[in-house]
Amino acid sequence: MANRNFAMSDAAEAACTEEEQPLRPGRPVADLRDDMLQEDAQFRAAWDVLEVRRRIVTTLVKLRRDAKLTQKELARRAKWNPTFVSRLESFPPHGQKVSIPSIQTILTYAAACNSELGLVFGRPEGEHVHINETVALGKSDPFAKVVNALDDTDLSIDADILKVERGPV
Amino acid sequence: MSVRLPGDESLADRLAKRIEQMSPEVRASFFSAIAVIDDCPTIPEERTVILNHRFDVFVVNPGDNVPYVVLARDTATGELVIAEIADEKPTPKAAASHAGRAWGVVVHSIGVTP
Repeated sequence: MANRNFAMSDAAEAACTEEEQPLRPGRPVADLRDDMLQEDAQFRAAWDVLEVRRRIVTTLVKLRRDAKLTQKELARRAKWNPTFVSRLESFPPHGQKVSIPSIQTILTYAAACNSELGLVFGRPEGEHVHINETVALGKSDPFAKVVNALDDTDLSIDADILKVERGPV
Repeated sequence: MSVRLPGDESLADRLAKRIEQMSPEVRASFFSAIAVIDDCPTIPEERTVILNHRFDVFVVNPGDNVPYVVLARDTATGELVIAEIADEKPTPKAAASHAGRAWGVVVHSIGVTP
C-alpha cells in the first residue's frame, strides 16, 4: 500500500535515529467493561441485549478476515454500498429494539467470503445435543451433504473431542 | 491480543471516565465493537495513518451516535491501545497525535494511507 509521508525536519530525523521506547500499555479494556458490568445493572441489561448481534457480527468479521477482504472489497463482491458493510459490522445503540442482520444478508455476506451458510437446530439433552433439523442455504452440494448428514444425530464433547454417537452418514 | 487502555495513566483515567459517562446503550455499543476487535484481530476500518513508521493508527466508528475511537497498534509487538475517544471524526494528523501521546512517543513522521 502506497503511503504519502510528511517530510521530517532535521531535528526529528535525528531524534528518530535514537531508540525510543514506547510506554507499556495499560489494563485490558475488557477488564474495565467487566468491572462496569458488575457495578451497573442498566449497562448489564444493555450489554446482554446486544449478545446475539455481537455473536453474529464477530462471526461475520472472522469470515471476512479469513477471506482476507477489506470492507470495501467485500462490498464490491456483494454488490453493496461500503457504508452498508460498515453499518452491518457496527453496533448502533439499540434503544428498545436490536437490529439483527437478516438470513439473506448473512447468506450474501458469506458468499462474498467464499463461504456457505447452514442452519443447525439442536435440542440439548444433558451432556448430549440431539440435532433435529439442518438446512444448507447456499449453492454447494458437498456443503449441503455434510450439513444434512448431521440430521437426527446425537453429538457430545468429551475431553474436547467431538463424539458422534448416532448418525445416518 | 486484547485492546488495552494506554500506558499514560492520566490519559487512561480520562478515557475510562469518558466511557463511564456514556449512556448504558452507547457504552454497550462501544464495548461490543471493542469485543469484536478482541476476538478478531482485524480492525473494522481501514488504517488511517502510520506513525513513526511503527504505529498503525485507526479511526473506528462503533455505530451511529457512538463516539469515534482512535486505536493505535505497535507493529513491533502487535499491542493495540485506545488512544482517544472523540465525538467528531479526528483528522489523520490529530489521530496520529493522539496515538503518539497514548504510546508516549514524539510524532516524527505521519504516513497517510491514501
